Amino acid sequence: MHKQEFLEILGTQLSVLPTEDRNERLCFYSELIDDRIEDGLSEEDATLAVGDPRVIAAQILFDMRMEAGQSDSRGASAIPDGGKPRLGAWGMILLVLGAPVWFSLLAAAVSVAVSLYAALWSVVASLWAVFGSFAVAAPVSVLCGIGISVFESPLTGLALGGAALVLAGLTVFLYFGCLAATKGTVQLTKLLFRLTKRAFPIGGEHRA
Amino acid sequence: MDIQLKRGLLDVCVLAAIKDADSYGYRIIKDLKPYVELSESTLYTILKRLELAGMLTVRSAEHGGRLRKYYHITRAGLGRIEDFKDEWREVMTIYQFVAREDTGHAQTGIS
Repeated sequence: MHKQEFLEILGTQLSVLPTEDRNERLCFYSELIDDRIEDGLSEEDATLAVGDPRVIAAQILFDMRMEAGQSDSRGASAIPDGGKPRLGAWGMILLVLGAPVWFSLLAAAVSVAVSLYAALWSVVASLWAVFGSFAVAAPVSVLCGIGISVFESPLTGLALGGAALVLAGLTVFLYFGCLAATKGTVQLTKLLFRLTKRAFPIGGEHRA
Repeated sequence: MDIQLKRGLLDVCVLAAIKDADSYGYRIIKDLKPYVELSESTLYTILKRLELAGMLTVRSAEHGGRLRKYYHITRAGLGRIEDFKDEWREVMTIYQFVAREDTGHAQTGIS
């Protein structure tokens, strides 16, 4: 067998490995064959001395499984059954008998959490409502101020117009305040969502 | 032989093979041949493990128009060899005790 053929067979057999790992292994064997050729062996003899690529691949995959299995069993001594605590018979009985207590407590906790969250959003909503009323009131007051100063009393009109401009300024500030509050609440929501997901993993995909 | 024990022994063998001078895959296998039979795939696994453990470093150097990987032992690797020697001094003491028991029994058997 030629070196190229050897490497091709080995590469195909090891296709389950990540590309980087596979290439590194192929380089390793390529170097070993080249070194044997340099040592005086023919290409055929050199590949023969290294061994059958199918057997080598099988050995590599077996070794990898062994290594993985050993590290698994070492890690599993602390956390049996893949990190999920199992309920024994007594645990189940306690769970069922305690249902009136734990279920009502859980429901209360959930409703408190939901109402707190709703209160947070209602603060944000009321901020936006204030912003809306300011945004409507400011230009209307400016127009009223101009109207009063022209048609009725100039001083009253001027005062009203000034107040309206202050209101307009406040509106601009409030806009940024509202925006920040909304963003903050959204970020908090995301954080809560992530924490909940981590606390209650669905299926086995959150083990890491 | 116990698989964990053998693994530890082979690790130290490979470190010993690169202790005095940097070496490469084929050379390591040849140097260890009189003492221990080491397959290529096993050597690869050992080298990788020792590299990850920081006991050796790898560099590629050109040799005869191709790249060859040379393995260089680190301070941690040298330390591992020293630890091994200390551990085995203890093991040898225990061995002598165990072997002495054996001969003791054999002698009483004879007499």
